[in-house]
Amino acid sequence: MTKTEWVGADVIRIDAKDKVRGVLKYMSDLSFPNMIYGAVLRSKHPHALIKKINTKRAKELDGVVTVLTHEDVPGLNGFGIAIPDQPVLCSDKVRYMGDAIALVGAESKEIAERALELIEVEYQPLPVVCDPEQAMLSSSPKVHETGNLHNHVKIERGNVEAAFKEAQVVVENTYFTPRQMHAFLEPESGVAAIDEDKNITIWCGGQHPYRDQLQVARALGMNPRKIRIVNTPTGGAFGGKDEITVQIHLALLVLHTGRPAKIVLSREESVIAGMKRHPMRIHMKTAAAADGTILANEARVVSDTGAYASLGGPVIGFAIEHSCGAYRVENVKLEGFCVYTNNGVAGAFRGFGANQVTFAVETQLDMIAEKLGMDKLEIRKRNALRSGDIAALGHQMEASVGLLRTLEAAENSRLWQLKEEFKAKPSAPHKKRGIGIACSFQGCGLGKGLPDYGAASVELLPNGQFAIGVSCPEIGQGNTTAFAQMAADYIRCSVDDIVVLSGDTGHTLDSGTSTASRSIYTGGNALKHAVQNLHNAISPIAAEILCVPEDDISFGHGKIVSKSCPDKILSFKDIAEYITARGLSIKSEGHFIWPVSETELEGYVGIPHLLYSYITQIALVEVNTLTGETEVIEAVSVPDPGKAINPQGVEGQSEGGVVMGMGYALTEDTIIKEGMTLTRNFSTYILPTSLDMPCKIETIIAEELEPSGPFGAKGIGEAVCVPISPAITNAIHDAVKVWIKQIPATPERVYTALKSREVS
Amino acid sequence: MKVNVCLFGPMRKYRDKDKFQLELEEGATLARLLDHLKIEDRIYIVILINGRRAYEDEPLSDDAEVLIMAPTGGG
Amino acid sequence: MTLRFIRPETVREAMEVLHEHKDNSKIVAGATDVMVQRRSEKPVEEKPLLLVDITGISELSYVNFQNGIVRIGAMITHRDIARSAVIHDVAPFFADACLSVGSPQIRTRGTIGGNIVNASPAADSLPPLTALSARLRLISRRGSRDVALCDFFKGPYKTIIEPDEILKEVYFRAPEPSSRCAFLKLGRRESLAIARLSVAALIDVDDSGKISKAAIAPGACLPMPARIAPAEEALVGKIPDEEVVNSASQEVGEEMVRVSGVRWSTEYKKPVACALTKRAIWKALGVDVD
Repeated sequence: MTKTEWVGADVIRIDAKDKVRGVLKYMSDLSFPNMIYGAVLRSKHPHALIKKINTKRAKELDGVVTVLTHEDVPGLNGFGIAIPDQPVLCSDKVRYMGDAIALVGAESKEIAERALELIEVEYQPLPVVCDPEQAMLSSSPKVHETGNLHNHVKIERGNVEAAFKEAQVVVENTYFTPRQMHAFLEPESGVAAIDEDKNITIWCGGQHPYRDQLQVARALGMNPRKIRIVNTPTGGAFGGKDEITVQIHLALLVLHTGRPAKIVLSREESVIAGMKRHPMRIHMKTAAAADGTILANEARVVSDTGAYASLGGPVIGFAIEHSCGAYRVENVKLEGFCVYTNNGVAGAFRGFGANQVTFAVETQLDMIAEKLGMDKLEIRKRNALRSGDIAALGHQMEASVGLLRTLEAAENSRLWQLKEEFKAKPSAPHKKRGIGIACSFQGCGLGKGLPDYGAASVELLPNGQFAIGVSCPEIGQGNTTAFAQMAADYIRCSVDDIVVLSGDTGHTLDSGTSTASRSIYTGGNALKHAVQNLHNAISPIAAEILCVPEDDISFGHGKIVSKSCPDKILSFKDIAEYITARGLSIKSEGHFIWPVSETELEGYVGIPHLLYSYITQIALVEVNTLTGETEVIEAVSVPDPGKAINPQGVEGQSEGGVVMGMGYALTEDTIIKEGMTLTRNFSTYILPTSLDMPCKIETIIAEELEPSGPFGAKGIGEAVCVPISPAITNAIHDAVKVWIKQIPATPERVYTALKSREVS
Repeated sequence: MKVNVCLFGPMRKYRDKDKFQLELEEGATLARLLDHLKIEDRIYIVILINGRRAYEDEPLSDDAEVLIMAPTGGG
Repeated sequence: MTLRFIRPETVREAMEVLHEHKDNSKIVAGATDVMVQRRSEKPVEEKPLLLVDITGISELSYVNFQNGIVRIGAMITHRDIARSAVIHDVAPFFADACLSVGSPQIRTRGTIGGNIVNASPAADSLPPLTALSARLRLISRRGSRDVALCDFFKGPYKTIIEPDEILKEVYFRAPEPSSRCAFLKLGRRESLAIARLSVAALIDVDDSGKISKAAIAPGACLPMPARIAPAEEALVGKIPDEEVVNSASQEVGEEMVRVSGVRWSTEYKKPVACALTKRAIWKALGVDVD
């Protein structure tokens, strides 16, 4: 590959200036003349039948423009990425406190909210289903008529029982993980408008504009082409805006009133109605030989998807795929259950099921290492997947496998090399320090059986610059900057001459989701094809101008040069002016379909993956033995993103990921009791603040280039937040010798564990 | 003309094979193909013709590769 | 109309407004609590609430130190106190407590008067003020009255203030120059943290090395601010050693259980309250424990 000029450089984010200055308009900042404000009536019960809905009094209120119910949904009254089991507006039953029953459009937000109070709903409360284990019993009340078990995954290979018998060490534990909140800064919100021909445009934070378009079209019973979705810029998503949020409600308001409409959820409403990470209960039994080789892993994972499916099905599959860690395990017995309850809704969230099982398996590994007296890093090296290995689901690791590279870089980090010194000097006598390590891998793309595709466009503008279009939205991760860098190197022009169009069904081709650590890989590959087509379109024109044969044309450093006669040079501007003068234009498209694993697991879609990113993370913690508080002092994060298109961007992802995984390990949990959310805003839902961040997060990028990736890139958005959580809990054990089996490791839990250790 | 059809995921239920060739009259649109396959949910569907996203009213060409799938997501 | 807002510029004006609207007005003294509360309140059409914002009254923004008495106007913010040379000089633990409030934004808007009248059991400013035996001056068109801080509270979020009264100032006698103090707080994170437990300790040691005076006031574990007499008694007259400090600290945990009863959190909070008190006492005694 030729040397790159922009890829691999710390190019400043193209949206940085506007974001830092507060100039950038997010969707909730947009307003239109004559706009109405929407508000949603949510359920008063976590589980109930609806007997009657009366909107008469609300409609009579001054300033109310419309009050809509299920009767006003012209198409399918349901949405859901996998199955449309969530009503747009409930008609006969509510299944969680966030269920929408009616939709008010009014002249002001205040009037809309007052109107909600005037809507009368008669309920017949039903018993609340709040424990997923209980929910699976035949005696349990049903959340859905089809039963409470939404998805069941079972994978068996080899013979675990035999392995357990011959093993030197067997550890068996039950782990519990919390309902983490995405906590994006911009809550679910957007605006919409409709024209005379009933074409609807929706500006709304989201992660896949083309799928939003189809979901809206399905609910409205409309031709998808009449609906335009704009998702960029989104004020944070992390998977929580993968599913429909307010798009269909916005569309209904503009359709029924003909006026522009705006909906912005309050934080409390976002917390109650929005997606969360699946809480899981994981029972795991792991066996190892005397040399630390993992012989078998058995796991039973129960996942609480709440009231509706969304992506709960694929999440449990993904969890099972990742439940043996990034290690070779020949004997596995893995079973996952995705269960409906009345506990909110859970869906996609950065990590997509890997976070929960990685916490379990990485703790198991540390326990085994301790029993065998092995070094914690050594045991991971011994079992680490290598290229060509067979992974837990029986599929071969065909693509780039960088785990060992990340482990070696982690081993050489200052924190690991000097770990005894770091641990030796706690800040007070009652505080103890420990260091923990953990690894993980993260399937990139949608996985086997879910064709993953993406397109991109590139257009030569009249001024000689280029407009590139990729519909994967900018959700804060920095993909637009990376697209610009890759395009500039493919085109051979300056990154400053690239204009990026993003996340807009009106102006960009369908590139798929900004999820699954896939947008750089997909967008980059599609851009590569698009630029090939662009060069093919420019070459004959350049040849014509320079009076040389077409195959004599080459592209380099913002120039088009004759190979045989290097003083014959054109700029892209020359080409632009030439074609503009002739009324022509050059716009090329590139289309890309993901390669998939050869292995097919009968009956499952989405697993296994072909491509994985890998990561090792280390945490240094200090535990206060008097209060049970844990402070993360330093962290080392060693991701293998394939080629780092923008190293500073990878560092940003890495640091953000460490802090998100730290919150997951130590403080964050959305507490729901009897279907009622208790932690309704950020005063009780404890996100880390800037003062809680580790003093230092060192990111060491360990690039294992992926041959099929653009410039060797894979994806890194998710993996960075995964192993840090067990690295922290393993560090707690290193410090105070208690195993954390339930996260978050709150001061109470750590303190209680410390006390029971003292007693025993 | 002949088109090559590939059905994915839930779409497989419409045919006993997931990859097959179909003979259609010249100028047939995608809608004609969907009719032929008796595909019901015509809105929430993703179709790629030669790798490019297409909608129902678009014409098919000879030897086109048509991928039909349900929109999805994942990690 | 469900809400009206007025921003008087003088104390006299504010007292007139409150006198006239005593059945439907609420004082805004920084709005860091009022705005949060209002989100969950149902507006009442017939009786629109009048918010009386007193933060524009410059007469209520002062810190005076005269004749051994520190007087702090009710509209002094947490940020002002955290930066006040006088407070740093006479009662640094009070400055520490105010610096631990919320975030820079909240400290810049929130006032000491608001913090006191809101009467949250977890209010950060109250333990040091309690330890300092602070007093309050309340004013209204009917006149003025002074009350001890510890008599001001009736329970969580409940005080004896009348609807037409304004808290004018909080004042206390500056501790002896020889005395030492400490404030420690346990939150769920480093900032924007509501205290789960806090302790203010004010201790004086005489020439013989014996503790001559002690004031111990915990926060967030009692329904309202109070000093823990048994803990103080365990210290006074003793030369501080491990045993003395331990037994005093133990009293704080016992008092918490006596007053608040055994709750789900007691198993954790009681020993941790003792540990926090112990560290606060040692810190006040000048022994660095952190």
